[in-house]
Amino acid sequence: MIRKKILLIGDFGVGKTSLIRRYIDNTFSDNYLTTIGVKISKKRLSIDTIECEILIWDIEGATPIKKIPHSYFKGASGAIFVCDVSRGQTIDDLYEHINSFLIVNPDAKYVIAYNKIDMLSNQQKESLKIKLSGNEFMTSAKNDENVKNLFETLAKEMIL
Amino acid sequence: MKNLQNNNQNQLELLKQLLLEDELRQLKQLASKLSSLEIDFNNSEVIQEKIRPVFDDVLLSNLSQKDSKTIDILASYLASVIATSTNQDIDKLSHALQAVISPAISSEIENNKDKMIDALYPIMGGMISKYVTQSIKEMMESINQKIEDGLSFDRYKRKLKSKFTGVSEVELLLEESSDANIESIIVIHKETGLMIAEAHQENKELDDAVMVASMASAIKDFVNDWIQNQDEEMASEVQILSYGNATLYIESAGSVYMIAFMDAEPDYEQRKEINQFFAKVLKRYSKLFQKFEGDMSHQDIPDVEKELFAFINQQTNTTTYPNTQQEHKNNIAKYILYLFIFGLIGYIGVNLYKAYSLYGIEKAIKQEINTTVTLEEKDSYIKVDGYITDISKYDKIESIIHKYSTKSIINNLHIPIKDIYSKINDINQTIPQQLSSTQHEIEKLQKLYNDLQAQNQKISGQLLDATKQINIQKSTLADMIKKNEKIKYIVNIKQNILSDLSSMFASNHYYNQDGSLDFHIKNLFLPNSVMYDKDKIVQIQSDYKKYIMILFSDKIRVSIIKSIVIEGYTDSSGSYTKNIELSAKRAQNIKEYLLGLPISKKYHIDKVMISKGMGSKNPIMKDGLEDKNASRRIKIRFELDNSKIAKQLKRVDI
Repeated sequence: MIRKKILLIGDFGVGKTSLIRRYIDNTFSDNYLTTIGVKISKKRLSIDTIECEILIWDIEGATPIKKIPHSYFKGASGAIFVCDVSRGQTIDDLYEHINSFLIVNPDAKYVIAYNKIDMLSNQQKESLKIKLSGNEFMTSAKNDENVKNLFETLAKEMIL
Repeated sequence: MKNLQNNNQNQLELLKQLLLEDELRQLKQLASKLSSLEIDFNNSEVIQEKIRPVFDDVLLSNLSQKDSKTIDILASYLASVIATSTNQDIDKLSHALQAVISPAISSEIENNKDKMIDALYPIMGGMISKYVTQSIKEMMESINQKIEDGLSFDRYKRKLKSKFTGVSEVELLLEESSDANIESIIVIHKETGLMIAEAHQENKELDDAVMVASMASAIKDFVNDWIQNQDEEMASEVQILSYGNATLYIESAGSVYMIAFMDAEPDYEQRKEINQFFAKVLKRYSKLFQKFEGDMSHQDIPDVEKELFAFINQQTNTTTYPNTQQEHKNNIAKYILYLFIFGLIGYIGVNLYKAYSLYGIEKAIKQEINTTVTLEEKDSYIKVDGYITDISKYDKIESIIHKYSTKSIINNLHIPIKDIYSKINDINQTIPQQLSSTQHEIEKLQKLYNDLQAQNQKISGQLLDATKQINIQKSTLADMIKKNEKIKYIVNIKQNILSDLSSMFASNHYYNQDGSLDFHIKNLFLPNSVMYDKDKIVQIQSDYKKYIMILFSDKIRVSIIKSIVIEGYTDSSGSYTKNIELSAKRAQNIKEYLLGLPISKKYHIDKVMISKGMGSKNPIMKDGLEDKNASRRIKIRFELDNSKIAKQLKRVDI
């Protein structure tokens, strides 16, 4: 069995914790998130017959005052960067998050979740969809849209 | 006559019975009640029972109204009632009072904590102190007994340790007897926080060790970050995390760290034991730890877990059955003998070494400055005896001794007195000269300082000007960079458009590298027909939308698009002129269809779209033959307006 650490990174309130709730098997209480800035959850899955277990570090959203502690980045094999499509600033901040992460883990894999897609009209969705590349997903934790796909694409990238 | 009288009387009775039947019955009932009341009236118990509820009601009413007379009466009797009841039936009294007193005390404690503590402390504090003191006394007696009785190597070891460290033997024994119990051990990869191996005491398994390992790792990182933020020079790591009775002892080295879950904080000895074990495991499995990438099927992991388990079991057994002193007792004589011999050899060795060292120093002094001295080494100094002819040798001897020893020197050398006077005279002569020269130096330095101060002021002014200048330059540079980026974008606009189109249509086989979409869809048009197949046009519609989105994605692109060209084609049958006409109509029909789409209206494509008939030019070939059904097609391409590109460049340059 392969065990890997992945991170969930994004601005405050973009829906990281909701994405995890949709997906995981086991988790620590949410209290840890406000106490030490990270909450850890676990998911077992099978990628092309390879059994693996991913430990998801849900890192508390950054705010202008509170930056993400980089010691949590260490040793991550992958990351999911999350933004809120209804808040443009959270999309603009993705670049900084990705950059900070890749400085610590240059060989790690990552995917991007354009979350809260349920808040867009069909036309807006279509125009966003054509701009997305292979590692970018339109997700909705509320409607369980693309959540599994998001995590499993990253797991495949890391394992295979 | 008598019979008649009797008869009348009977009749009268009969008549009474008939007329007064009800009254007689009531009379009997009244007589019976009266008799019963007479009995009750004579029985005090019955009277008490009857009037008690009334009395209770009156008493309760008076108490609730805090009637002082009632309270005074009750107070005078209460003490004696309690005293009597205590003698008669304590349990019953306790039970009765408990219901009232317990809630009263609870309420009083809740409302007046401080007062209650003050009131109870003299009683409770004394009582607690008494019991705690008694327990400690018993424990100390037991330990003293152990010390007195114990005749083992450990006892001598403890005595020696006590002597050297200054810690009392009792404290050491207390320390030895309080080993914390290790319930679980997990080994965690430092960088990732992933658990590599785990072992637990039976029935003490952690619920989800993998999660616990990661969480512990996060907490450790958090605490370390915090500590290092508080004091940046501090590079140490957190070693103990405690919560209630649970303690996590963390030992970190190399690429892993180990967490021992314990029921109390480990003492120095136990930490040392854990650290030694960890060092052993670390050394043995260093390859596994260094190259760990999450592969839990690694062949060494079960072996690591076996070792962890063995260590937990070993310490459990030691904690449960600590009495291995009996074995030591059998070897006391042997240990003491070894100790004695070892001490003797050490003593002789140290003295020999000292003597040899001193002899070496004396020899060196003789060789270097041709002076014989005698050295004697004490605990903290070296004493030097002898005669010297020249005072300068005094310093040389000291420097030679310091080459070999760091101890201070007690100098007992005999120096000729005339040499000392001559030295003092020399010094007296040179002091005024040196003083004057120093004065001169100070004046020079003062002047230099003033000059430097003036220069500094001048430079500060220049620096301020330079900073202003730099800021202006910086702002200009930023503008230039911005302009340069825009110019670069405009100059490379065609390549950028082509690159975006290539990404968008990477897997689309109608897309050509020149930026055109050649829709060679089979039978898009039937031979000689100008009308397109309505089902097949859907593909063109979808790709056209994406094509327009890229071409019109920003203001600069919109401004420099000269035209969107729809080219119509025929197959190679038919004459040249007929084919030109047919292909032009096909292109025109497609143009009209595309201009009807909302996206065309949004971007005002009608102003730039043109259609062209290309005839049978560039037919579609397959296996060396023309695929006529595919040749009847249309193509979409774009053209840029170079003059508008030049205008855009000019505008940026201004």
